[in-house]
Amino acid sequence: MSRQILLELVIRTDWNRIDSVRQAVSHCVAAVFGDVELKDSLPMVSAELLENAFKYGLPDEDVTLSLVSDANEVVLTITNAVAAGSRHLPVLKARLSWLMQFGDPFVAYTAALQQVYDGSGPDAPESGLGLVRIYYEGRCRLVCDTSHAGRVSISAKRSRDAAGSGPGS
Amino acid sequence: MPSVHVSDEAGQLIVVTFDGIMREANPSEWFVPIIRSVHSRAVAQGSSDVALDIRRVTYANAAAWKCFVFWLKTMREDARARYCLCIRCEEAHQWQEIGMPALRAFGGHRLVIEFYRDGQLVRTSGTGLGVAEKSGELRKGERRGKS
Repeated sequence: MSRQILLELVIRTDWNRIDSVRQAVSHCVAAVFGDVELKDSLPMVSAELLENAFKYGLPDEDVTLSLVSDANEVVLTITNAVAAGSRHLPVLKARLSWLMQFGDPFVAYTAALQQVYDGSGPDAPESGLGLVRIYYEGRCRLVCDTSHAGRVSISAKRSRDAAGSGPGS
Repeated sequence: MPSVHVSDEAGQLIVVTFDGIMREANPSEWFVPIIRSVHSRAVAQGSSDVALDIRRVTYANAAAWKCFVFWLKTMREDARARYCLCIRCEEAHQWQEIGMPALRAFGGHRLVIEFYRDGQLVRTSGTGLGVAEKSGELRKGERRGKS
């Protein structure tokens, strides 16, 4: 089947909107797939990625969310503007590289929690725990695209194996 | 932030109950003071158990997870603390069902995770008796599932 767009949103950088988006993704996934687990996991993925976009992106620029699916996977992508030379981009890439060392998402998540445990406290910035949570709890692979100047896209890709029935099943 | 209730009867089991969602950028601003307060009280009372009831928390972000970890660290690194922390979870909430067992590595034998379904305790992750059982909250004769 061809790739189908399930949801596209343009979101103002406003922390209070994250939960509305999370719920929108939940309703969309429930309507399309009727899958309880996916209905919980993809909204979490959207919220965690949006939090990162709002924290580390340019505050006056909108953030876009897309949710697409094909026969093999469901992909949720968040794209936001970043300042030239942003110090957050190298941190993001390093975190994703670190994450991909782990074949077992549970081991990755435990290692990330250990870093939090060993750290200075719950206010320590840029722990990247949300990304690891997406890998473990959301069962998604994460792909970063910085090929467009001034913009960064993070895609969370989840196999359709566990995505229930939906278009193209 | 979620609504928060902390039982305040002296000498009784300390139960911290959250209701709502945890989605703030810095939940530590309200959560950490609660942790410090409850921890101090448990130490002062010589409590053997503290319960954190999150069954009505439908969602928590990664920043909230850091606070859970902070509580475990606070508990384990304070030599005066003798209490076990029991986290009461709702089985239907996937973020709890999947995420909570990962905390076991940090709580050791002093972390008990209870999973409930429709108000009934269905399984416990952790060693020893859960807080509900110790405090008599399970009805007499009620069977407890095993994880």
